[in-house]
Amino acid sequence: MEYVLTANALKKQYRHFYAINNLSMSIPRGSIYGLVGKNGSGKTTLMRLICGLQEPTYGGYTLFGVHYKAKAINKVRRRMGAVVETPSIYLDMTAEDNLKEQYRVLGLPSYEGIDELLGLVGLSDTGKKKARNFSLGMKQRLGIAIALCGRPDFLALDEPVNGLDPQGIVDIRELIIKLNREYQITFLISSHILSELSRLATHFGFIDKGYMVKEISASELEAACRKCVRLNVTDVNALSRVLDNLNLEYSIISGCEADVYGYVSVTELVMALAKENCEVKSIHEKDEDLENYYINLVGGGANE
Amino acid sequence: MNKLLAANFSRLFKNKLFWALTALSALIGLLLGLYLNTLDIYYNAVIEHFIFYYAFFIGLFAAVFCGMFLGSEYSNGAIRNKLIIGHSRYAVYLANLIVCLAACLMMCLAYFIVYFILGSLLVGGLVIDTGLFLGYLGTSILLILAYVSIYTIISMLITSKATGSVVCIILFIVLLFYAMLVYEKLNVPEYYDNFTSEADDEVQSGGKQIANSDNNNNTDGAVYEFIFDLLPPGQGYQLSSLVDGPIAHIWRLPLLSLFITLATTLSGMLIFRRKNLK
Repeated sequence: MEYVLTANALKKQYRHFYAINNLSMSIPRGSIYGLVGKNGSGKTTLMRLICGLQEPTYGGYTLFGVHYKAKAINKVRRRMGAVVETPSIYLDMTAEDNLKEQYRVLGLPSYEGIDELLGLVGLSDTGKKKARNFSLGMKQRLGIAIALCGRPDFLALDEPVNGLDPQGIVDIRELIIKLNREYQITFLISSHILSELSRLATHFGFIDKGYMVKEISASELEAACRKCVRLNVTDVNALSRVLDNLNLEYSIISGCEADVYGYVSVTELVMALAKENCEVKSIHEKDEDLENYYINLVGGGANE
Repeated sequence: MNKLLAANFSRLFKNKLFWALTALSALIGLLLGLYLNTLDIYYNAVIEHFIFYYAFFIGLFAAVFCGMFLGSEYSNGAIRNKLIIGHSRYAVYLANLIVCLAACLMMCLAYFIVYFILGSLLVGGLVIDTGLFLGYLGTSILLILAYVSIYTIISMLITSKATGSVVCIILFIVLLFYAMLVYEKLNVPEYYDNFTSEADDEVQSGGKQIANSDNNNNTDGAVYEFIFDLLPPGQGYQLSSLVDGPIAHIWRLPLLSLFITLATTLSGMLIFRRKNLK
């Protein structure tokens, strides 16, 4: 698999505090990578490191295969854009002037594509309105438009829907999906609004206290969060035989536990198990979403 | 860096503060030109008297401009857009320094053009030796560079626009007051009269001349002169008051400005390279 970004044992230390601690991660090309973590978990610090705003204390990362200390990194960075925390825009300029300014910073030979960019983020009709008079959502979209100048292959967005109204959230979501599908832009999106992220991301990284707790693809997460019935039985081998006979999909969790997927007739199952002299000690429905998964992963005692 | 310069200059020409300070500078040129004409009534005023007067007020103008112009890069977060797409920190720092220098030179040029045209019409052209004039001109340009370098390091290292601007202005005021103190020390007379009396609005003095204990000995005097030459407002005062006579250390001033520029810019670039940005 080709990776846009790989980080290896990344550390960022502020005096005696590690904001990022031994963090490793990989972002596959073409993915929407959701970085999940609570406030202060290190998401924004990680974004700053990746964007070159800060230097790692230890460890390193590669961007499009180029190490961050290599001379070629400055050239490679032209292929990325980012909105870290607040959108970086000149408030005393119009949306168009902001884009022109970024075009000049990039050294692009003409202003071709500015109208298209404004249309893409829904700011075509802002005219001479200064950015200081924009709504939060408009500023966020302008920030993304600036990050899109120069047609980057990789976009890092830090909390892109923070503080937006429901319509603003939908607009940003649709924009990200469109850019990913139509322009094949790889995204790294940090957020603590998990319901929003679960609708977008193809890959997830769970970060807590500067550590990468787990990296998982959306399909793996879906499998992990699938609706199922968890059975606690006295004989898991008997359970396995019965489930095979009933043609039910299942996964063995431990020596006495198994998850059974799909529709299960509890009466039929219990009677079949009784014939095998297997007692059902407990049974409960399990319906996990990203939020539950995250809480189970980082919120419990395991990571304390 | 050319790309950064193009972007910075484009932003500069849209900057209202720049145009306001340039207009104010031209206004000062206009007023001093007219004042020169008034002086001409009493004695033979020549255009050189105030031709470098910008060297005095540019310290304040540069403090206001650099603090606000560079500070807005941080307050808007726009400096991040430059670094994220791969511009080196050295290039960002130098591009900012160059555009601020150019802006301050343009402000001075506005003063110079207005004052020169008006002064030439009212009291006639330059009578000063061309070589000396060019020397003073070069000295004033290096002084502006020194000012801009000092304010650039402050504005690039203090990420708050308001704090950076205030620090630049306060620093100028502190340097100005210190230069004035040093100037006072330099002008303590060697002897004073035994007595003075004021009667009928007439000051009379006389008697035996007494050595002034506050007067500096040769070593102290040289140190004070060096400090006065080193301080940008001290240099500015000397350039702006040619009416009092020529500059004593014409070679020392540009060298000291160059030293200030190199020291602040090199250290500023090194610190900025390692600075954690948000």
